[in-house]
Amino acid sequence: MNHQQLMALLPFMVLATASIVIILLIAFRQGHTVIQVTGFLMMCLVIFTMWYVRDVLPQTIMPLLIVDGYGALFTGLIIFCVLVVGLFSYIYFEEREENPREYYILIFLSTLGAAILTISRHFISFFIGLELLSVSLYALIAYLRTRNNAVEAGVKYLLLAALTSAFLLFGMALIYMDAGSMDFSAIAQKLHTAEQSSPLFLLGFSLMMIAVGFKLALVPFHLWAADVYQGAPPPVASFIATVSKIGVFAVLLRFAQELHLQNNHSIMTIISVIAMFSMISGNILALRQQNIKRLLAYSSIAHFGYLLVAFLPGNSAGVEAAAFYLIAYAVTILIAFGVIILLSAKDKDAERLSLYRGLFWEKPFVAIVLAVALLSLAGIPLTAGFIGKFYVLMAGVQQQAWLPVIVLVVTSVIGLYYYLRIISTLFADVSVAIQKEKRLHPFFYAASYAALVVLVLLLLGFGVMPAIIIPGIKQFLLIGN
Amino acid sequence: MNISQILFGILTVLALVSALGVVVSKNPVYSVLCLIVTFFAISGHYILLNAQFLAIVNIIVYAGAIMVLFLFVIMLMNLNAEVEPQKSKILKFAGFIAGLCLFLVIVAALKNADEKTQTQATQLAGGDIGLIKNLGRALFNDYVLPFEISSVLFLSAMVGAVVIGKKE
Amino acid sequence: MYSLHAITHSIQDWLSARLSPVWVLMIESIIVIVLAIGLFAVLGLILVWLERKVAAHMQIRLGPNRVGPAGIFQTSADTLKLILKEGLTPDGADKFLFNFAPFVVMIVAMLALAPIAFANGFQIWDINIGVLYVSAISSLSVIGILIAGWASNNKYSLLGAMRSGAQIVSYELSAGLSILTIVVLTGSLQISDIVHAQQNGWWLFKGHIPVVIAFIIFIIAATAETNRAPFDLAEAESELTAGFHTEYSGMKFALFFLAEYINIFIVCAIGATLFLGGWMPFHIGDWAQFNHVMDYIPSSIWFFGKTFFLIFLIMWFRWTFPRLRVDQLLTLEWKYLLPISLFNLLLVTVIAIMNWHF
Repeated sequence: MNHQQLMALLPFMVLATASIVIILLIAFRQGHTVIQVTGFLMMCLVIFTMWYVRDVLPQTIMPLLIVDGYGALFTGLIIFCVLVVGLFSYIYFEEREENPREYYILIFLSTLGAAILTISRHFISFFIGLELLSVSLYALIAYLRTRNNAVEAGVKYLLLAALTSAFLLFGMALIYMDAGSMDFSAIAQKLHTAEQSSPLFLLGFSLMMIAVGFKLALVPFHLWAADVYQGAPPPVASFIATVSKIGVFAVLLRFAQELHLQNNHSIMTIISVIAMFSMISGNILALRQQNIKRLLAYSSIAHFGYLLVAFLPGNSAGVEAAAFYLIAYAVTILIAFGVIILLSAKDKDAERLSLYRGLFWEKPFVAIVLAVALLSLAGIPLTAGFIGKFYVLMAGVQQQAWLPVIVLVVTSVIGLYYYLRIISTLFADVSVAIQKEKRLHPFFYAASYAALVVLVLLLLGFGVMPAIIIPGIKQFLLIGN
Repeated sequence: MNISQILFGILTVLALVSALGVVVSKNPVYSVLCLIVTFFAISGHYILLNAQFLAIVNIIVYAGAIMVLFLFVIMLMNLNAEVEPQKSKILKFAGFIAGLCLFLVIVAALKNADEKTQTQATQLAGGDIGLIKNLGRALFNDYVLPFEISSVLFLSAMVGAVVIGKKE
Repeated sequence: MYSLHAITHSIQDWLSARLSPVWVLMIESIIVIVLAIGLFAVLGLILVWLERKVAAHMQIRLGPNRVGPAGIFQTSADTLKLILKEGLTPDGADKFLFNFAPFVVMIVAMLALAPIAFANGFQIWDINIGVLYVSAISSLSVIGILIAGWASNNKYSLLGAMRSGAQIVSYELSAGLSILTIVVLTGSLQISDIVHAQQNGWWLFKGHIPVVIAFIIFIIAATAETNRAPFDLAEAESELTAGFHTEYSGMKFALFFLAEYINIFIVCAIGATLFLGGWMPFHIGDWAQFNHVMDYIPSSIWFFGKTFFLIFLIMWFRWTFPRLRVDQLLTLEWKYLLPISLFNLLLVTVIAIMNWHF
């Protein structure tokens, strides 16, 4: 490993160091605030190092990792999400009696796993990254273990994730048997020379899709999503919805890009069927949902169905569309969970939809923020969600994948119904006040509100002027191609 | 047929029978014991592949530590055949059909692979890659990064276990 | 000069001159099996007698003294009695596992014998991961104990088995770590390499204080792993009647009893090999005259002498220290021995890298 490769890995090393620093802080009995602030600064440091090492990219660290613009883009997005999640976590955990300090270790370790996924070019790093991500998540989901649903959700996630990891390994083994290598590019070469894709590869990829589909909560591997989103603390749920899914999607996209999977007809059929089922089931299941956390879970199922449509073309337009969509989605879902966290009471999360009735008259700012986020999720123009959906549609149309595109349009209309249902609840005139005394340091409230404002501005900014970010994404994706 | 082929046959039959035993046996303790036997058979396969280190680590970690913890928990919970929840017949039938389908697909895939092995089999780099010296070299040269990352993985598992398990 | 090495070679030559390789392998296997079982029987007889004699000596009494001179045939008589006794299987026990468990324990004890070098060139299987093999196999004995405890359908048995399981699983760690110190110094896991590395002095003397610490930790862990006093919680008479083998009688009980002594022999043999040079005579550096004198004593006597010395040490512990409580036992391991041995391993690694040892 030479100097430049070490430089390229620097952000990831800082990320790994962050968790060790937190462990040491805990060992020296520092309080929650110190840990929170340190964690925040460490994440800022990661972003700073990423900026610092931008010139040495792309670097391939044989045989496992490749730090290129693609990886940097998704890692940056992940770190951004963690920054926001960390900020929201403070006010959420500070109110509860539970000791939240180990929470930050696990969050950072899990983030490291997701970051490794974005830069992996080999099955081994893929698997280790995925395991690192999910092992930390087991404990994170069950973190508030005195609550009924938390342990249930944690165990559910653990059992299913362990099972799907077995499928992933089996699939990898089959592909290894076929291609004789676990390196993405070597597999691609092997596939390229073979005149037709072998049944072994197909079977292996299908088995791998089970694990990936589980992590992305795609139908039919979505059964955990609602329970876990409901049982996990909201910051963790937002973490799962953003960081975990972004990491897994990034590695899936890289795998598909390297192998030119779009030329493989049967695999594309599998993926488009999964995409259509996800869009349909996600939206229909969300229709009558009264619990906002569960609703967001179903909506995330549908959204990753949309994303898979962008996945179908396999060209650079598709990757751009997916990247933009992920950014828009991450910002939106962070806002939604941020509002839930701000409204959550000490012993109960603000998850019943009835709690949000007439929120606008009580807390106009929060209600408007939530409304904007929901509009973006629904894909209403002037929000980033719309632009994202537009890009995805365009990518799908270019590929002439008509069936998924039609399903996308129809289910988006269905989805509009339940998003608007919540928004109308927010503005209903009967007010049910959410009781919540403020006893925290106002600075952190101010910071959270500021974060929400920034996120909303981003959302609207991307929606009104997508030109401010699209060239950036393109530029990033060009590095290393 | 030489000795290693005979051994391969014996070990394979042992592994398959005991793996079936894990699934079929009514008593969870028997399941765990069958699983231990399976691990032994697989370790035997590793030794046949000249991967002695892997074989021994397989025994230490799985048979010696993880399965002992399994036995611990199952014995303390005193699970018996009567306590086991009875699944509905339809569910069992559906599971059977689904498993059979997967089995068929895998057999079909592997059957094609068999023709392939004549021409382009997956070859190991050398026969003695499983020996501890070569393994150590590979781990600390080519794969030092994933090796370190997997230590981080254990760290996260440890922190998670402590967080979940600690007293109030 | 006759040595075991020469004998094995002549047998090998004699056989391979007359038979095909497969048959040679078969016949040699049979010879090895017969020898191993013979060794087991003899060791069992001697060690039980030794235990009683040592105990008697510690308590200022005579011990067995009726059957044979100084009672050396006492154990044979006891064995005869055990063979003739009825082997009861309690009602409600899991019949198959109950009868199976003693054999598991016994087979595991036998397997661990494979890589031990009894004398110069006298070794069943010089596997290249020798010490790792031994620690893997010795970690399996707990499975037999757990089966025995659970299958007996008796609360004392189950409790004893659980205690034993927790104890063996935890003490395995520091035993493994102290074994690793020698592996680090030698640079090999193979038993023969480890023994040859001690040609100019045993590791206990060559490796400075860290190796002495490792040796002490190893002896403590070995005592715990064999469920010997002061770590005999698994069969604490005053609490659990007899622990995991409460329900066993007759020959099945004898098998447990025998396996326990075999295990003691094996851990002591490993300790002697790692720290005291195995069959290697007592050498001091390059002092050729002294080393030459020492070489006149046969290597097998060196090996058995060192092993029996360690066995005596472990027997001595039994009458010196009171039994620990379960929580004390686990605290000792996880809070003291494990951190110490981890740090110690680090020290030894530094010594090995800097070549500071003799």
